[in-house]
This record gives sequence, C-alpha cells and structure tokens, in this order.
Amino acid sequence: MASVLRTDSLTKVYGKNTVVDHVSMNIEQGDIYGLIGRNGAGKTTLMKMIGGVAAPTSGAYEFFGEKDNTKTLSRIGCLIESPSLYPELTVWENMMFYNKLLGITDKKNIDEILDYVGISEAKKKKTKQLSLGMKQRLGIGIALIGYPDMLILDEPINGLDPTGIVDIRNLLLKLNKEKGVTLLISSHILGELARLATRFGVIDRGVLADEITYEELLEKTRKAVRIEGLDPRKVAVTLEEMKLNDYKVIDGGKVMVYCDTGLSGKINRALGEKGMYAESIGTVGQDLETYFVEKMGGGVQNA
Amino acid sequence: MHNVISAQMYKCFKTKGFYILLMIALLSTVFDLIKVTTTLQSNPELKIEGFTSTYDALSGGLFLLLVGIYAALVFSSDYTSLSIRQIIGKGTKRTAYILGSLLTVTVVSLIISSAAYVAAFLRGTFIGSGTGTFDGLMMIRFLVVIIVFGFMYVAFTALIANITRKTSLTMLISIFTPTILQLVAVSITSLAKIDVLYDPITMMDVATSVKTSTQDYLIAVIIYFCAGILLTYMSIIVGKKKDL
Ligand SMILES: Nc1ncnc2c1ncn2[C@@H]1O[C@H](COP(=O)(O)OP(=O)(O)OP(=O)(O)O)[C@@H](O)[C@H]1O
Ligand SMILES: [Mg+2]
Repeated sequence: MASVLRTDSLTKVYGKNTVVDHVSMNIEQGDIYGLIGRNGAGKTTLMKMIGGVAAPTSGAYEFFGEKDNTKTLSRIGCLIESPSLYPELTVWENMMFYNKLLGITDKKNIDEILDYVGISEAKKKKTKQLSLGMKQRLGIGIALIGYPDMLILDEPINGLDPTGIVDIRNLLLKLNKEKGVTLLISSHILGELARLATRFGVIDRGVLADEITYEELLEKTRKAVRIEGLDPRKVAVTLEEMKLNDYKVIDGGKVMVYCDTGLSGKINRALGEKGMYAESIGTVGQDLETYFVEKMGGGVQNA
Repeated sequence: MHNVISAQMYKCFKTKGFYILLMIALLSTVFDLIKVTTTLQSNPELKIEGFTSTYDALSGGLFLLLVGIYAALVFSSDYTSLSIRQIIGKGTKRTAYILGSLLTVTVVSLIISSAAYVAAFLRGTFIGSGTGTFDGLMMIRFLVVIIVFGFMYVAFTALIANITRKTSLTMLISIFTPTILQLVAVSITSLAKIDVLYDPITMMDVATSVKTSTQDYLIAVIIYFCAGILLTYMSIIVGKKKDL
C-alpha cells in the first residue's frame, strides 16, 4: 500500500513545553487512522502541523512522498478543532467562497458535496442559524472541496448527540469505502473511534506511545478463557460437547477459548467431570477502555 | 492571488456590513447636500468652489471611520471564524492571502467611500450660483490621495488584525489611531507642512486645497504610498511567522 502521510520525528515546542515530541507515524492509503489521547496530549497540535497551519519546531513530514507541502496541501482536507464558517454567509455561499479560493469554476461540486454530507436542505440557511451537527457536516463538506485524497478531522464528533454521532460515523465510513479517502481522525471518545478506525495511534504527553492495527487491538482486547497443562485434543472434545467452537491452541499446548469469560468455571467443572484437572485456568483480554487508558498514561478520562 | 481576490470579493458582496456602510456613505452625501443647499439659501452671497468648500470635518472623519470599520471587520473575521486555517490549509500561500485580501479591502472600501466623495466634488462644482467650475485635475489629485491613503490605512488595519486577531480591538485601534496621530502632530509642531504630512486627517487638505503646491502634494502621496508598502510588508512578516 502506498504511504499517504509519513512524519519523521515531528516536534513542536511552545515555550518550555514539548507539546508534540518526535512523532513518527505512517498512514497508508485507505487507512482510517484514529488518534487517541487525553486532553492536552497534543492531538490538535500534531494535526495543525501536518495541516500546514503551524510550523514544526523540528522534524519533517511528507504527503504522497512529497516533502514540499505547497504541492500537496490541495490534496488534503482539514477540519481542525471547529468548522471555520462565515456566520453571515449561507451554507451554499460558504462553499462557494472556497470554490473561488481554489479556482473551481464549475459549481456542480457544491450541491454534490452538500448532498453527500446530508445538508442540502439547509443550503440557503445562514450558517449562524445551523445546529452544531449541521455545522460539523458543513465543516466536513468544506474540507471535501477539491475532492482531497485525505481528510484530517480533529474531534469531528465533539458535541454531537448520539444520532449525530452515528450519522457522522456513517458519512466517514462511506467516504472511506466509496471515495477511497484516507482518514486521520482524533478523538478522546474511545468507543467511537474503535468503531471506525482501522489503525490507532495513542498519543501521551506529545509522545506517540503505541501504534496498533484494528486486528491487533481485537486480539489484545478479545475475551478468552485460557487452559494450560492439558492435552489439547481431549480439551477440544469437551469444548465441542459444550458447543464452544471458537478456540485455538497456542504456545504448544495452551488452549484459548473465545467466549464469555464467565464460562471459565463451567468449563473447569466439565473438564473435572472427565478427570482432567488443568494446571491453570484463567481469563484474558482487557477491555478496550482499560487497554487505551493504560497506554494514554493512566488515569480515567471521561469524554 | 487572483483566487484570493475573487473569493474575498465574493464574501464582501455577500456580507451585510458592506451594504450598511455603503448606505451610511450615501446617506451622508444626501445629508451634506441638504446642508449645503440650506446654507446657500440663507447666505446667498456665499461662493462654493470646487470640492474645497463642501468638504468638511464630518466627511473626513467619516471616510476614515468607514474604511477602518470595514477593514477591521474583514481582516479580523478571517481569524475569529478560524477561516484563515481553512484558507491556508487549502494550500493558499500566506503572502498571497495577505496581499489579495489587502487589495480587495482597499478596492471595496474605496467603492464605499468614493461614491460619497465624487458626489461631494461634483456638488461643490455645480451647486452654488453656478460660480463653480469643474476642475478635472483637482478631482484626479483628490482621488489619487484617497486611493493611496486608503491603501495605507487598510494595510495598517490588516497589520493590527494580524497581531491582535480580535475584531473589536482591531476596530478600536484602527479608528482611534488617526485621531491620536493628529493630536501628536498638532502638539509637536505648528508648521503647516509637517502637520500636513504627519497627520492623516488634515492630510485631506493637501488634496483639496488649491493652495498646496504640487511638490507638497507629491511628497504626501509618496509618503502615504511608502507607508502602505511598509505596513503591508510588516503584515506579511507577522503573518508568516504565526501559527494559526
Ligand atoms: N499556541 C499555543 N501556545 C502554547 N501552548 C499551546 C498552544 N497550543 C497548544 N498548547 C499546549 O499544547 C498542549 C497540547 O494541546 P493540544 O491542543 O494539541 O491538545 P489536544 O490533544 O488537542 O487536547 P484536547 O483533547 O483537549 O483537544 C496543551 O498543553 C496546550 O496547552
Ligand atoms: Mg484538541
């Protein structure tokens, strides 16, 4: 897969604070990269740098293998912190402003995009009259002008109600699937990001503490009962009898049974009834929140 | 830069502020007209010549006020609405943004104010016992100063907006600075020439007074123009450095 964004030791220092600290990450085409971090972790600052609106203190980044961002910015769409809208102008006029800025003469794209993000009914409304969710959609719409290959979205679901969140999530998934847009999304709402992203980066006090794919995350957070010290084939028979078909033998003899971890006692008894006593039987798999909170530098974060 | 101008023009003509200020300019013209006519009626012996006699402090201050408010609104709104992030993020070069916006605002605020001024000039020429004669050279002299001064003033406001990034603060500073400069000019010198060159409000006299020599006139124009360029350059320097 082609690399869309690669950062190399990207660093931002404000005064004495190193807000983004040697972040090196790689985002490939088609990725939905979820950037997770607590308040003040440096998500916005990182996005500002790669979005071309803040200068890195040191380090570099490249889009599509090109270091000169004046050549690539037009292929990137950004929505950083909150949508930038002219309150006096209507939805359509706000879009038109950016069309003119990019020298796009065909106005067709405006209705097309407004339709796509689902606010075409409101196109004649002044943006100061829009609800938060509609503003957010328009912000994404503006970012989409010029049909960029990559979208950088900073907390796109901030302040939205549950239906708004679902709508935006579906919109982003649609963009990724239908238009092949690569996404970089930041959030501190874990559950939401987990439903969307294909890859995750955890940022803790400016440092990229962990990078993990969705599959790896699933593996790490998958609930299982682990049975050690028994003949796997015999264990398998018992499991099949119990209709527990999702199991795997790992590390030469340990059996991982993917099921509700509350079943461990039942499994233990079933094995015992057949005269098999496991050396150890336990449960594995952190929940998502525990996993990320640990990586984010501990402490509970409420979104 | 062409795209920046076209986008900013579009925004200007879609914004209420432009039409409100235009209305104020036109209303003040009407108001002036009534005032001149009634003055002439009560003092038939009064002669009105060229632009000079109809131009008064009210319209001089109004010109600055309109341009200042307008420039402050446009420049700071790009910061307060965070649109500047989106504009730069879309790949617009910062220098192109600053120059393009400056040109747009200069042109638009000249549209707002010059209507009133041309009207005032023609009025001074044609109204009043038919004593006035149309002085084309005088009008061109006058317009050049308006353009150059307008440019300098807009560039100043742009710089303030670039630094403060706040609408009300920009407006305050940009509106009160000419008055403060005038006070300073008046207090440091009583020499007419220096007064004329340093003080933005009475500088209008340079353009409008028949007594001013061509040399003094040119010096004033060049000074305003250079100051405008310098302020623009400072805006670019400040704007380039800052994170958005
Ligand atoms: N312009 C600035 N000057 C000085 N410090 C700044 C500036 N911008 C951000 N910071 C600091 O940098 C740190 C990271 O801020 P940033 O906005 O990037 O965090 P974040 O991860 O986006 O947080 P949040 O989840 O609250 O949006 C914070 O401690 C913040 O105070
Ligand atoms: Mg943030």
